[in-house]
Amino acid sequence: MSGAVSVGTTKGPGETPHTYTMVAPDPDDQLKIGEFVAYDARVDGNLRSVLGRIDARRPLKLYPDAFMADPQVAPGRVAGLIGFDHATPELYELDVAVLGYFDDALGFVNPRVAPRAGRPVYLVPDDVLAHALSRVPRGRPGAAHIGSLLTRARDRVPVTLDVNEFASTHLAIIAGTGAGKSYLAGVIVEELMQPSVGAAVVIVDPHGEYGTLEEIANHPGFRGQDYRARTLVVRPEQIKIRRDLLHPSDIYQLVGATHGLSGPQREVLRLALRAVGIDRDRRWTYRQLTEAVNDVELSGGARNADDEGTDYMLVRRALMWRLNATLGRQDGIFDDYEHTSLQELIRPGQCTVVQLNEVPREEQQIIAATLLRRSFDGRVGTAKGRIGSEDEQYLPAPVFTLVEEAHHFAPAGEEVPTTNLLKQILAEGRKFGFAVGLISQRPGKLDQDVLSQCMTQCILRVVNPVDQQAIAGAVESAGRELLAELPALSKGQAIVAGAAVNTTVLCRVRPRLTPHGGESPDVVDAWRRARSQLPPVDRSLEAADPESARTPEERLFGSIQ
Amino acid sequence: MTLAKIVKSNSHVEYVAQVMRPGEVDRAPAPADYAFGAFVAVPRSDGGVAVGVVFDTTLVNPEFGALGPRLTTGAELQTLAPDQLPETATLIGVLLLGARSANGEVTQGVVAHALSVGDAVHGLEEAEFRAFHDADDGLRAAYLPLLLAHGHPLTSELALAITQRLVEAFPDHAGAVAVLRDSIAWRTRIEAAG
Repeated sequence: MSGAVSVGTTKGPGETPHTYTMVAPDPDDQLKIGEFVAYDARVDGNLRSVLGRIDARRPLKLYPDAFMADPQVAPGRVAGLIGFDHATPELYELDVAVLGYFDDALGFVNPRVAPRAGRPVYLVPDDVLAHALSRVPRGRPGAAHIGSLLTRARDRVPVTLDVNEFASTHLAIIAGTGAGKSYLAGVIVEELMQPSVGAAVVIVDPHGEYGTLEEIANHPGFRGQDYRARTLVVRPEQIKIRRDLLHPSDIYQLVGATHGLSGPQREVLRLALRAVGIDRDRRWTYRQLTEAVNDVELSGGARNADDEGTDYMLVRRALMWRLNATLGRQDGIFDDYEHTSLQELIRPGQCTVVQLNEVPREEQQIIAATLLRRSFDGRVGTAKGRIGSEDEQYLPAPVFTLVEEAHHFAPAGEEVPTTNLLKQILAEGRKFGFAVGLISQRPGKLDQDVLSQCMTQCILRVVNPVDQQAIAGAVESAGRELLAELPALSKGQAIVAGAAVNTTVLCRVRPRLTPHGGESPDVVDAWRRARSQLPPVDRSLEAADPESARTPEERLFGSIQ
Repeated sequence: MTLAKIVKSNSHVEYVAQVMRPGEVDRAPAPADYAFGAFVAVPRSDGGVAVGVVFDTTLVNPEFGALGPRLTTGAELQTLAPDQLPETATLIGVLLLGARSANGEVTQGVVAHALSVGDAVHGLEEAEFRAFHDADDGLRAAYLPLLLAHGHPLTSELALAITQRLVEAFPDHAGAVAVLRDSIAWRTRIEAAG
C-alpha cells in the first residue's frame, strides 16, 4: 500500500485458518478492536493489499504490577528511574480476521494463505476503506448512509447499507433498552425516504415512537424535483379492517387470544365461518356470524349435546362471549363495511406509521397480522398479475415494513397470529419485493428462525447474556470476537453485518435529520411537576398534632422504646 | 581520601581492592569509610572517574591456620627472623556502576574502560553522589538492573541499601524510589522466604 506508514508487523497464523496475528507497539492507540489493517502480498502474481479486521488485542509487555504500588507514582516514572525511558513501552499482539483483497466485481477475496512473518502492516486509508466496506458508495442511489466507521474520526469513513439488499433479504435491528435501536431505525427510514430512494415504508409502532417522522414532510432533505416524501401517522381508530377480509387463522387466533379456544368451541367457530361463506370469499357481517354460531349444526345433527356429553349450549355461549370481546367489539378496528384501502396506506415515497400504543397486545398482533397478510397478498397478487390497479390491494411497488418489538410478533416458543406470516414473508418475500425489518430489544425472546432469516443485522449494545447468546446463534456473519464487544458498545454505536455491507463493521450511527421520538421520559421531572400540583404541606399542624410529626415508620410500627 | 588500591578483577565490572594500611597513607581508612554500600570513585587518566560501590569485604590473614608447634616465642622471632611481619589485609569488592567524565557527563551502567591494578579508590563525596544520580529529567539510577543481575548473594541487599539512601538524598523523588525499593524488598525478602 504505497505511502502508508507501517503500524505493526505480521507475526504468524492465528488460531483459525482465516486469522493471523500481528505485533504492534501502537503508541497512538490506533489499533482498536474493529479497525481495518492491511498487508501487501503477491496473490496469483499480482501485488494485493489484503485487508483484515482487528478482532482481539492482548498486551505482550506490561509494567510489573509492583511498579503500580503507589497511585501517585506512574509506573513509567519508576521505569525511567532505572533507565527505561520509552514513552510507550507497551507491545501488543493483535488477532486479525482476514477479509481478503477487495475486488470491485467479487468483493473481498480471501487469499487463503496466512501472511509470512515480518510483513509490515498498515492502517487502511480512509478512502480505500470507504470504497471497500460499503456495497454502494454514499450519495449513489441505493445507498442508505447510516453513519461512519467507529474506529475512525466522525464522518471520515461513511458506512452505507445497500438498500436493494436489505429491502429484499430483510433487516434486523437488535439492541438493549436505550441503546438507540429506534433511533437507528429512524435513520434508516430517513434514508429510505430520500429522493434517490423514495421507498414505500410501513412501520408497526407499538410504542408510538415514530410519530416524529412526520417532520420528513417539512424537511428539505426529503424533497426532489418531482418528489416530496410524506409520512402518514395512523392511529388504531383510523384503521378499519373488514371482518370478512380476515383470514380464518387470524380469527381463531384473535378469538382465542386471551382465554384460548377449546376443541368444541373451535369446531363451532369453524362451522360458523364456513356457514357464512368464508371459504367461498363471500361477504358476511358480524351479526351473520353470531347467528351462524347459534344455528350451526354439528356433525351427526347434534345441536345441544353430542354422544360424549358435551353441552353445546355452553360451548356456544362461551364462544359468543369470546367473539364479543374480540372480533365483535364496537370500539375495535373490525367493521362489517369500512375498510382502509391498502393503496392509501402503502405507496412509494410514503412512510406509514401505524401507531398501536394503548392497544392490547393481542389486538396489536391481529392488526399487524392483518396488515402484513393483506399487504403481502397484495404484493404477491400484483406481482403475479392477479390483482389489478382498480383493486385496493394493488401494490405495484416493493414494500418495506419495519416491525418494532418484533419479539411480540414472532415470540420464541409461542405461536401468535403474526408468527407464521412473518416466517412466510422472510422465506418468500424476496421474490415479490416484500421485506421486513425486525426491531427487538429481546432477541432471546424472538423466534430464532425468524431472526436468522434477516440477512442484514444492525446490533447495538446488548448486555443480557441470554440475548447475546441468541444473537451469536442467529447472526453468523458477525464474528464472535466482535460480538464480544456488544456490552461495551455505547449508545448509538452498532455492529453492522450481513448482506447489505461488504463486511462486518463497527458503526457510529449518524445524527437524525428528524427529531427522535423514543427518548426516555424524564421521570424525576414528572414527579416534581406532579408534586407541585399537590396542596402545600402545612407545617403548623406538626406542632398542633404530634401524630403528624411522627415519621411514617413510627406511625406504622410505633416509637421504639 | 584514598581508601584502597585495585589489586584484582573478577570481571569487567567487579574489582577487588585492598584497603590502605597504616603507613601506606597518612590516615588509614576506618571501616565506616568502606562500609557495605559505600560509593567509591576511581580516578582515570583522562580526568574522569569510574564510580562504584562496595558490595563485599574480606579479611586476609596469612597466620590463620598456622597453628603448628613453635620452637621460639614471639619475642624471640623478632630477633631470629626480623623480616617476618604480620601481613594481614582487608579486601573490598567494588562493583562499577558507571562513570563521570572530566566535563561532568554521567554514564550509568557498564563502563567502557576497565580499571588497572594499582588504581586508587577514593570515597565518593555526598555532592558527587548527588551529581552522579542527578539527571536532566530527575533522579536516575539506571545501574540498578545491572546490579540486580550481578548474581552476588548480597546484591539485593545492596540495592535496598542504595535505594534507601536515594530516598533520603532525593526527597522530591522519594515516591518513585520507594516503589522500586519496596518491589525489590518484596522479591528478596518476602518471596525468598515464602
